[in-house]
Amino acid sequence: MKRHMFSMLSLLTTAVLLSACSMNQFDDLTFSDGNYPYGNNAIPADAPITTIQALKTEKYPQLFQSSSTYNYQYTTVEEDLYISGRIVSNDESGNVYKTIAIADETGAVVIGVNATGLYSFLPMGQRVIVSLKGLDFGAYSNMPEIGKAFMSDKYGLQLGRISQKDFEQHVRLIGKPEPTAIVPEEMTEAKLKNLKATDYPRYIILKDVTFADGGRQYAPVDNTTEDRYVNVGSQKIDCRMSSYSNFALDTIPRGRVSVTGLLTLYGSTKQLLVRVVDDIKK
Amino acid sequence: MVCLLLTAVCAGRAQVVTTGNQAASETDESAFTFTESQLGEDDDAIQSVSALVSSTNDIFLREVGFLFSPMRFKVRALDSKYNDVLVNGVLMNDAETGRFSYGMIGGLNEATRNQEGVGSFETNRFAFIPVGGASNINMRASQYATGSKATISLCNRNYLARAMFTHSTGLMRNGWAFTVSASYRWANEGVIEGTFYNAFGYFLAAQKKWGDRHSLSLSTWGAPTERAQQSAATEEAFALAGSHYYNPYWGYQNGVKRNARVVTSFEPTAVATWDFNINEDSRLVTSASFKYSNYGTTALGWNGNAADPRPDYYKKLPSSAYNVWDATYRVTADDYAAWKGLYDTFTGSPAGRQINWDQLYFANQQANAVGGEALYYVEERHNDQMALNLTSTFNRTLNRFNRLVGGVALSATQGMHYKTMSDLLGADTYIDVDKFAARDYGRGSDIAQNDLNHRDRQIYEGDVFGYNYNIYVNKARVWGQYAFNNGPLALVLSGQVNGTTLERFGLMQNGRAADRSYGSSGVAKFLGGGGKASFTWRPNARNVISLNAGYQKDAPLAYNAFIANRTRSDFVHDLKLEGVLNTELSYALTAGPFQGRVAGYYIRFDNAVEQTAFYNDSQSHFTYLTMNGIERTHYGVEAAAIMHVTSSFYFTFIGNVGEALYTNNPTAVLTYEDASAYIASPKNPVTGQEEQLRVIAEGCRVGSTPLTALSLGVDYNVNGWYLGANVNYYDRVFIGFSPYNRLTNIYQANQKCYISDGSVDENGNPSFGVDEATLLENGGILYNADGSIYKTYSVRQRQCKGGFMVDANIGHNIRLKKGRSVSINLTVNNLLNNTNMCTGGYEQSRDDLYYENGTAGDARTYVFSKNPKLYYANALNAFLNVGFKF
Repeated sequence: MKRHMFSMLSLLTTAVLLSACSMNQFDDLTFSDGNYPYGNNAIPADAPITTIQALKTEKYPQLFQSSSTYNYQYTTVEEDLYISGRIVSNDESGNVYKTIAIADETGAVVIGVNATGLYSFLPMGQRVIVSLKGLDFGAYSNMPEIGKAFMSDKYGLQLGRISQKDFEQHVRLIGKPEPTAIVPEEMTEAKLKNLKATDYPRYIILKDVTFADGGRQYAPVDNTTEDRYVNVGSQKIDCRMSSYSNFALDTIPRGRVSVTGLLTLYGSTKQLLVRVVDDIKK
Repeated sequence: MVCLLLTAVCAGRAQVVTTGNQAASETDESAFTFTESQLGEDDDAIQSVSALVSSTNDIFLREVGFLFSPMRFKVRALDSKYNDVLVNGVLMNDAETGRFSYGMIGGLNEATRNQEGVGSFETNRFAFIPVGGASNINMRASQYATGSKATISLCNRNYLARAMFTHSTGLMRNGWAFTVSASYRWANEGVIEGTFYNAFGYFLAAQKKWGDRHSLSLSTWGAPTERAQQSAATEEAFALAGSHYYNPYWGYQNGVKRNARVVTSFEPTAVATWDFNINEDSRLVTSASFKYSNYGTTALGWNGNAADPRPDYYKKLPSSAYNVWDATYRVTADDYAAWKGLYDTFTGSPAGRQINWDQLYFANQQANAVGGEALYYVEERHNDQMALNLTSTFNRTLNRFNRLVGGVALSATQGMHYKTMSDLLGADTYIDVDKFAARDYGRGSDIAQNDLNHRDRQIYEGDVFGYNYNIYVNKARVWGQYAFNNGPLALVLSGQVNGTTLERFGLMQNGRAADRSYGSSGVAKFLGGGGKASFTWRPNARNVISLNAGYQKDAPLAYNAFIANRTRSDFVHDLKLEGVLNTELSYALTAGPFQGRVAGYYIRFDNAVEQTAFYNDSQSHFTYLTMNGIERTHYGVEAAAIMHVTSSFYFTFIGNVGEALYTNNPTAVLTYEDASAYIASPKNPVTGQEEQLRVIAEGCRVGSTPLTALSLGVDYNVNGWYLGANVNYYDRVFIGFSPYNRLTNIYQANQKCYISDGSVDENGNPSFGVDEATLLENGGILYNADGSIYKTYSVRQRQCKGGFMVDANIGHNIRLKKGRSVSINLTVNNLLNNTNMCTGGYEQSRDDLYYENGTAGDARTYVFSKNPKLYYANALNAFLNVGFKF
């Protein structure tokens, strides 16, 4: 019996010792503003900010004055220019892909970033400052966009995505994400008719509208993007639905819905980019 | 049989026996160094480790474990599941995987020193020996040398320091004997960057003898161990990191190195043994054992659409920027910029090619702020097991010439497989839903639920999630052995009958298999058996010839028996007993100072089952691939020789040149864990009829072992000093082939099926419009015009470059007063620091194409087929051992 006790005790002691001395113990980390391990904390929090609308219409108005249906003019920003706003994009579902969008009180702009899962560092409502110096800004098929030019085999030099590493050098996160701080602009048929190229992209909500394809799946065919039209009065807005999104096989609601998303421009076509399935509400 | 010969051969060479013991102690050491070190990407399956038989009788088997272990040599290219390890006659191999877990006895070198190792055909007193041989460890308390021994070791391997202490009372006058042993192994950071080692070991044994007839002994041991792992990586990653020992498993967390893959294991075991000497000629040994093993491996998990956090994920490697293998590709400035960006990140600083833990925590902090789920977490995959064994062995010497041994072995095993949330990395919440199924079928779908009995369960640290099932294996075996020996002639006949039952019991109702995941799978029953004969002729004292043959059929392993064991209870269709034909012809010669033995072997497996499980990036599914009906042939020559120049100066040679080939194209079942349906069969390109899915494996070789391994050693002993050196040559190491890349439907998607147009070439062979070189490189299936298969070619299997490694050792024994002694040994492996010896690895299980609706599309930029993941043998390493006996 003694022997048995001894074995048991030794066994227990050893087990306890091991767990007590684990070499794999790590405390949780929390990061405060200015020490975030994402982005560039050297960008000054009080940098002089140019509004997004001023960037489009005052700094580089000539880029958007093309008469071409498909304008791809861009320029490299060579001065110290900063914009600031909150993230209004979300690539969690996969319908938004390698893109973020930020909005301030004056407008919004899209940034192409060659990375997925951007929402994990830049969730909706996160305020950021973007240092534009060294990045390219211009029109991508008419829509204002920040990116990096690349050589397209078909179209020559045009705006493309910034590498993830490069992007992190140009962005600074400020404060904590506040999803409630971003409010979409209610868009009406009348307002839609009067938008200029520099008014895109916009963070909007369409209320009391219907989907032409209610009852069907969003994007049932692999590797395709479906055009699902929303009727806004007499206008049809193209909602682009990617089969890669996690709601591709969900059913489009019938009847009146409200749709939130990013209103973008491609050539002369208005497109609404739904971010997550909850953007569509009965 | 071989035992009989070599007992004779070994007689009268005490010097060699001495070195044999020395080798055995080093063998123990090597065994623990390498068997624990390498786990595959799929960490449920320990990558095959060498079958180690430290036979005291066979020169080859005695030396091979120690000499070839740095290259993970497998005897006869056999998986370690064909090698049994017993303690006091009880089988200790895991009934589910078939393999012995060396971690179970980690650090207990002194406690496991008394071993009897035998080759497959040797006579023995404890078991029916499998094709890879067996070792029986004697753990009876009275079998240890009386006194105490303390050992301190320093090395630069998995661990850096080890301390051991053993004390034995020996058999005392009152009939009792007690032995205790304890050890600790430690490394803050082992020789591989980012790995640590923290392992205790204890051994307690008591024995009581009553007269000469009865003895009871109880031994219990365990080795609670915590250790970080090393990963295989691609040649590109090694080159960019500047080292063949680059380990992508670790990263900095707040400036401290943290490894994502940590193994925590503790397998407390107890064996009770009753020895009953019935009379002078009869002996009965009965043992019962109980084991409760806890084995867990951690791994990073990621959720939703968060980016893959692994630093060597292919998209983070420069060759994913453009096809660097295509010499005709025109590299644009943008391609180059993308390449340069990835190159700079990977090579710029160690942090750029390691896990960024800080960012993982930050992502979760951001998710908390917006009410989201954990984006990154650490999960622990558990393979726990409870095993009860009962063995009884009866030995009877009939007369001078005849001996009988027989026994019965029963075992019941319950394997418990589940994963737990090890660390939420600061996140508030995680919900138990399969993210891949959620992506494909919708977050709210039943299919996405991991457990329909607990929908959308909130998971906190320590909670079970994902999968949870038990595997029950019951085994019974009756065996017998008859040995006849009258000097020049010896004969051994053995036979066995075995029964096995397998059952899965699901503890979760998985949404992907709602009606086939919860509860019992039903019980599969197998009745197997076999026999072997060994015939030895010794015409004179110098020459011994032995001819051995056997055939047996054994139940498939539980590990391979289910098509997707984590999610469903379906057995692999048409499971059969695995057959093994084992033959050997050997010749041993003793001539003055020379002793040698050469053996040719031929082993053929039929109806074997092998399963691989991997994350299939091409289809974004966790995938199981089971090959069934595999035929494999292992054959080759083993040779060993010792040449004494003087009694204390001698040369030793051992070598193996062998082949281990898959000889057919087995059937295959492919199952996606997150899908509710099986994968459709391919269609015959001529007739359009559905065909059985197969793996074009014919011509592939067993990987991750040198098929050529040769060693020449020299030893010199004088005045208590031992000096030795070995030159080892290894070649023909193949990378483990990916069955996935050789599936017939992948061949079809990649347009590797060729149909004869009916014409013939100048040699009269049918013409298929493809040249032989292409077929040998890329693989192919040649169809006759009527749709029957003319010939198949497997995708070329990568082979590592061969090379030399040199080892040296020096040791000294100092005898002190009162029977005390000190021994010092220094072993240096890979003295010439050859860092280019690839020990094997595996091909990435995905092909080089994009898919659209199941049909192949454009080629991917990153060429997976040219990027297998590899392991390299350790650089120069040393082991210093100081022992003090008192």
